[in-house]
Amino acid sequence: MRKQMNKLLIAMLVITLSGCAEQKTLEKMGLLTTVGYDLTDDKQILATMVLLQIDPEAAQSSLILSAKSATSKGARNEADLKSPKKLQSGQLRVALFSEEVVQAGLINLADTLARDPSISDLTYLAVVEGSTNKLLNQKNEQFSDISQLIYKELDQNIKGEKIPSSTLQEVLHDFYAPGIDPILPTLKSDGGIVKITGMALIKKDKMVGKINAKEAFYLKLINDRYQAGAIELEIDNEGFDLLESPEAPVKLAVVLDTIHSKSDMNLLSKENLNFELKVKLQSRLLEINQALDLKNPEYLEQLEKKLEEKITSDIENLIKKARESGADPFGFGEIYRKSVRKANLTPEKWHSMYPESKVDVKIEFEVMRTGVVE
Amino acid sequence: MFFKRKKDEVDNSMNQKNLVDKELIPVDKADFIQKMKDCLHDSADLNIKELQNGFTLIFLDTLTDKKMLNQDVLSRLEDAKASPNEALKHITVSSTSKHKYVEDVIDSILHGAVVVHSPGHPVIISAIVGTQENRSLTRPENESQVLGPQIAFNESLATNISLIRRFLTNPNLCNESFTLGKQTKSAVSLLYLKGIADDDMIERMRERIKSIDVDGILDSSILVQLIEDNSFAIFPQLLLTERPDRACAWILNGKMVVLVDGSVQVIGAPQTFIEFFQSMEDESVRWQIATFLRVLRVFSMIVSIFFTAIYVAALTFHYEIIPQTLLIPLGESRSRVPFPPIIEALLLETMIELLREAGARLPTKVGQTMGIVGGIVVGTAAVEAGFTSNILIIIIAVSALASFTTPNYMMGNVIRVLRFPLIILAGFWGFYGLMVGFCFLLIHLLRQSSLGTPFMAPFYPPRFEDWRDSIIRLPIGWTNSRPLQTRPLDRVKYRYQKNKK
Repeated sequence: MRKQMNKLLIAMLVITLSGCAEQKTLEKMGLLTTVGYDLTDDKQILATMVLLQIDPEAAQSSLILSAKSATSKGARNEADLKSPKKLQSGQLRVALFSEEVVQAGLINLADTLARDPSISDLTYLAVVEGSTNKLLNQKNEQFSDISQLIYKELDQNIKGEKIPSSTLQEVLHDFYAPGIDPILPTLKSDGGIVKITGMALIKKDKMVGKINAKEAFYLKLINDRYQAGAIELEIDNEGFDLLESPEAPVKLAVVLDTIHSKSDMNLLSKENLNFELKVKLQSRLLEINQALDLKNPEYLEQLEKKLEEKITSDIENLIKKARESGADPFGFGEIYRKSVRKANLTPEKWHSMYPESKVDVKIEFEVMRTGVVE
Repeated sequence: MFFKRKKDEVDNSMNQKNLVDKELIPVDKADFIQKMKDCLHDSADLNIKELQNGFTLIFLDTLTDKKMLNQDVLSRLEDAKASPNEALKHITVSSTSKHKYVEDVIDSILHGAVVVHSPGHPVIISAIVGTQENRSLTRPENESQVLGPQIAFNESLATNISLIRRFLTNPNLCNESFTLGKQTKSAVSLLYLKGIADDDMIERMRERIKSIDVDGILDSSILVQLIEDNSFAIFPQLLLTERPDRACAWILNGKMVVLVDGSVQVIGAPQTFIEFFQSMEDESVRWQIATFLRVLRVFSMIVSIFFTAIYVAALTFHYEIIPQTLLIPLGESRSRVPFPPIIEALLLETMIELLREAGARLPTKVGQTMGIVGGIVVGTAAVEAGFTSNILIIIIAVSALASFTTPNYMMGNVIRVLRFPLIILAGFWGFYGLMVGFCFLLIHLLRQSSLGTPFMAPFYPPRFEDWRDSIIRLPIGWTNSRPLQTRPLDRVKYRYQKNKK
């Protein structure tokens, strides 16, 4: 009897408890794909949200809503009042922050994103030069959905090894780790298209400077193993036996495609905070803008040496620039923490030590192939 | 003789009668005739022939072969003296026997024998002159395959055993006979290889068959439900086959085979879950292809059970997991559907089941029309009318297709039915409900046993040696051991060595 009652109870539970699960039927949800945050004059947050339109009859495949509130979630609630569908951020792909927001401090907003279990850790974060609201609202005939454009652009460039990756997970990791600072790509609206201009240097969670796209490539070279994308380098003509022609450019430009790269950072002396950065780079010469006899191994060696010098000075400049701004996107602090026993490093401690650090850059550069022309 | 029974054991257990209670045959001719008439209720086809020399022949017209009766019994007995020994001497039929009890006589009449009564003797001679109404041997319909023998069992027990004996010309092939069913008295045979099959296992099977107390067994698929371990389980625990080569492969692996008279399928025991996804053809093709096909079948089982449920769960609760490129087409086709995903999926699943059930019971010619009406007309019209989304149509069609790849019909049915509770769970609680359903399913499978041996072997308990011929199949030399499942007395099938030349 008791057993039968139990069975009946289970059957009843199946029926009654089915009301407890909150349904989120796809077509009743307003799916946010991109969200942008601006600061208003009265220090409130202006959130601009791009919704995926799944109405086959609609002309535009996205809908843009904006709302003002003290918090980001509050802004979403506010925007709900303007939306025919319940706003959900489970399909969020990109979160944009205006420079003002990042200068004031990014972490509150980023942390909210991370706290929401429906938001993917692989959401890209980016900084917008100017207003995110304007960037998202710009009209262009070429594409119907601005959020897809931004997402694909970031995705393509990060997967194509052009700029370092900046997913929510990576940014938050770098923020909470004591010896490294996060970096975010910067976007700019440029005549109807969106351009990646470089990366924003961030100290703790506040933006302190910018680097351009070429410097972002070097940063990627230092931080990531294995592979980086292609880069164009300019070096002086001097010392090369070039065919003189009047219209030849003053600089010798070379395009390199990395085949293999390996970087290694070590702490040489913990008292002087002297680091050593070794980068081994093997690349393929894709293009050269002046006639140089590459079949001659002497010239090639010379070219390699020049390029090596160029890369070394570029990287030194980048490190100097970052150090002056106070941000450490390379993770020297992590190397320090790894090498020094009982370092008890905290972000504050590292940021006070960082300006005194010195880095010896050693580049080993090699041109593996010069193309199939030979 | 296949009809030979272990009389004492069987009859005791079946009828709870003692030998003492059995009625002896009346010595007097008239009494005997009356007795027979009474026992068979004066059946219209009961033929009683009294010969000049005192013999009385009784048989059923409908069961006996007239030509044989005339040539081998009637004409021979005409000149003989009326005594049982003389009758035995003269009858030129291979299977004759002597009976002392009325009950046995009736039994042999019902099996197509002519019984010969000699006045003054309490002994009856019976000779089997029964007709063998046989369908000729045909190709296997349900387990058809391109390679391998193209022959199937038919309804005759004798033919079926002869088919197995033809494959296994081995004196160790034992055949034990039973009679089952109070009313039908069906003949059942248990076949196994002595010296390979485990004695405990045989004894267990024997006990199970003997302890069955039903009024009739009309098919092996009914017998299988009476001897399996758990009647409440949704999964069948013993396999049936209509292929003699498969039955022989089982016997060679140390399994037992049970045949039922009048049934085209034979039972193999014990079996494992993975065996339901194997086919005899796997042994004939290259091992790489066999492995691919087996993995494909298991994969399609999983797809068939879970695909629709995942769709329902994702659309009702977890829009996060849908890839963004799929969101727009999915959302667009969904936006016209007036029902929630669970109703939509159940509707369409039911429709597919209706089509299948209607197609299965219809003559082939009407069946084709059915396919067109169901597949094309209803399918496209349903989408155009905004009744279902076209992506669900694809999903349902794929999972229906996948369920037909299971080589075993019974398992295919189970897989199709299992979808429904899982869709309901997914519609109520999303992936959480789906996981609960999956756990129940897994626990249920792990609890099952087949003739007392674990059903999920060789995966649980893990028997890695037997994995070589489970979801994968390794080359022929690697699969030369019998599965531990059957507890074979001799583990090694053969020593594999290729000729060097």
